[in-house]
Amino acid sequence: MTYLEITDVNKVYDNVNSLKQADLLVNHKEFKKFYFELKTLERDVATFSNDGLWPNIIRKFKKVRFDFCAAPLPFSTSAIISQKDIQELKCYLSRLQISYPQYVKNVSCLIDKIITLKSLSENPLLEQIVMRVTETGAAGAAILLKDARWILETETVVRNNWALKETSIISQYELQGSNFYESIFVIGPRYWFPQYIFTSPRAKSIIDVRYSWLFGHTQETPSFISQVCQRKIDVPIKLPDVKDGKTSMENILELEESRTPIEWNLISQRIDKGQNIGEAVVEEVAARLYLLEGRMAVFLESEESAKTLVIDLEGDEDERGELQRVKRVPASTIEPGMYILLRTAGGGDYIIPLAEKLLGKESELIKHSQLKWKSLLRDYAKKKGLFQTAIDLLDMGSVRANEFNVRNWMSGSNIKPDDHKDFSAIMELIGLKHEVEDYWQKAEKLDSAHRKAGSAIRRYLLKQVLTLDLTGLKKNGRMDFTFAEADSASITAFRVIAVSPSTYKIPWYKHAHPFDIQD
Amino acid sequence: MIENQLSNLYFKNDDHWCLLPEWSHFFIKVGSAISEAKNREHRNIIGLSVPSKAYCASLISLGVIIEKETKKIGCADSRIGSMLTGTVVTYIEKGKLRKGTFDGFEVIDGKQRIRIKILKKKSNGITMCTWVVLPSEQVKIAYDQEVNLSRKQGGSNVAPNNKFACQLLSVSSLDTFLMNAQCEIAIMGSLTALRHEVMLTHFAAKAENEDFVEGNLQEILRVRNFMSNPEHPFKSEVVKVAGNEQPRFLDVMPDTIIFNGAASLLKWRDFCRNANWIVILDRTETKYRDGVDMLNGDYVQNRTKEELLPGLSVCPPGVDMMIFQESLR
Repeated sequence: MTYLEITDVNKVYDNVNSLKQADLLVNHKEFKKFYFELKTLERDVATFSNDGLWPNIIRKFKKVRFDFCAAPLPFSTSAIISQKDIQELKCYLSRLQISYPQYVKNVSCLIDKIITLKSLSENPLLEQIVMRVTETGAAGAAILLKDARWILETETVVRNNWALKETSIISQYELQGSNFYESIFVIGPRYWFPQYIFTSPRAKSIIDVRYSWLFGHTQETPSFISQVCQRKIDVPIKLPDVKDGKTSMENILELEESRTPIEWNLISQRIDKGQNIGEAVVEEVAARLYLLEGRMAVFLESEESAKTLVIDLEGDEDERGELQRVKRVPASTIEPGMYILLRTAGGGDYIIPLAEKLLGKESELIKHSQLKWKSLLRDYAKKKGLFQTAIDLLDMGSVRANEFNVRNWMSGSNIKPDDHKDFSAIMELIGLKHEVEDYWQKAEKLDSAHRKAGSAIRRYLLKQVLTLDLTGLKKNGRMDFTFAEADSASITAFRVIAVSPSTYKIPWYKHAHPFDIQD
Repeated sequence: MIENQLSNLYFKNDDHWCLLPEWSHFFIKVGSAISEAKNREHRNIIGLSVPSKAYCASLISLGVIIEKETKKIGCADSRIGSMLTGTVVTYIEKGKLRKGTFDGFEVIDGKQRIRIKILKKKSNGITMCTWVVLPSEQVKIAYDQEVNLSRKQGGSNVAPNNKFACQLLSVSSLDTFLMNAQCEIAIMGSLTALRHEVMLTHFAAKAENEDFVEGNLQEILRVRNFMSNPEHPFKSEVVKVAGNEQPRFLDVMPDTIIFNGAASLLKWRDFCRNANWIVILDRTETKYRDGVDMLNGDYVQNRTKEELLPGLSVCPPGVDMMIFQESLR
């Protein structure tokens, strides 16, 4: 953890006092045409949003438009738009020909514009920054990007530019601590960024670099309803470019529209729910969706008992005075800005492969016995209902049977009931009364192996977190850890960007599997 | 009075001593103002929106404690009145912590005193009983009630490093300061960040001979969590935000609670509703907006008065402040 010294806090107050804010407006004729033609198409086809075709097409175009506005990279950058992306867009044309022939020309025109842009090696945003830096000789500058995905790519481009050799490429999370710069070039309109960038400034000047037709002003509101003294709020207001027959107000409204909320339902549909495990009834769990850095997302079970490993860079001391940076927390307490650890190679829960290794030859047998009793219990619950199953279990001597616990016991993420009496009741209910002890012992072994595996992984991560330089994690929002002992398991720490307000029903085996939301 | 301390407080920048900057004076004054504004019917709530919460809580605590010490505002532990005979108690004698057992009350010159029984082991092995009589505010109920009092008491030094505190408070000994020690302030927030500010940051006060007397804020704040001996008198304590245990104060609930960050306010706002609150909301925090909304909600729903506190009419640039009062529950 980096602490602010008194001299650092001094710098913050000095910056607040004397902060200079300016706009650096960039023009590009071709991109502007693409931008507004897409806006027009968006508005024209808004009524067809229920048809799955249009949201897909518009989303692909919007992604390109956003990336061109957010990354100071050449238009020709393949990572922004590849030949494959262009081909995919072209594929939509034949479908449009059948369903919406009146829009084929518009879409085709937009694709042509993307192809034209892609052929250009120009990098208008960066060129403007270079000009400014050359004019003012600004040393110790930083370029702040909205999307951390473009940090590495931008660093490579910037390193090749002599004027910007000393310039850092940063994410908003690096401006919460003790990193200070002479000036910060913010790429994109101000409203894309949290207010603290401007109200708790880590630089003497902040320059908003954006395309001229984008509206950059944000209305800063006072913190409290009734304030003893009002903070000086002095942000230059520059209206956007008003050419193309549009009024400035129209442009502003367009921009307001573009502050679209996260499409949680759309993202949630990206996981493949189609798979079934054999003939068994697949258990569904309630899960919340977490948007992760790098256009990834993950479902995490929302039950209070479901816990997830997180890295807390600001971790506090425990009772023994030791820093707690890696900890297991209920998913309900995970918030934007935290780093969650997920298995990214090998699929699934990172504890399982290591636990299997610890169990050795017995692993398969134990897995099979677990699957068997859980599957029989699920069949019973499906037939009789959760409430009746709980009543039947109580009649057979269970002490904790209720709908919630029965759901837990059936779940693949739960190994066994804590109480032997509950387990005996389940065995009797599903007709395995005479094998109670055998099944119990196997479940106990599995439980013990999981605990050992969890603790080994936590120890390993703790060591890594204490010894590794984690500035990359803060900058890029993700970091990979390879864990040799768990059969090439690779664990990645992802920064959480947003958490869905509602929960979704997902198959339990899809829990904790990060997936790409790019396409 | 606090102005004297402010003009004599320095921090180390590289190898040089520098006067504390203006913004830091503001936070010390916030602490001073809130401890001065004691009211039996209302509690004060001060909301502060700041560009960085670093050093806010520690400097506000410094203001609270200096103000209390200057005004000698001390009171006895409320549990003392109902103590049973034989309860192990502690008191300070010549800078050392002593232990004895409660042996009853006495009234001297119309004031209630506490009689403490002390066992003293002589060199020949015989244990003798002696008694001391002290004002109740100088006696504390011991943390460890199982202690063996028949063993010879060396008495541990309660403030081995105290020169900076003596210089800043303009006293020759900390005995009175320590004898009247009670928890004046609780800070809800991170222990680790506070440790850095209170234990590891070098401060100094200038002596009459122009020498800098160096020390740290712990000499004055006496944060219980950073003390090696739980029996030593403390003036403040930290309640961590992490963890699910409800805040539990070792001593009586302090008059003033600092919520050091939005997370602590959102988590523990339903506790300590009878204390003065200072809520520090750092604009770089993820939960900043939630904290502001919560405090604004309190202002709308529970405000009974809106009076400024003396000396708090101007904020440093970058700081927003809201002050209001609520009826005590």
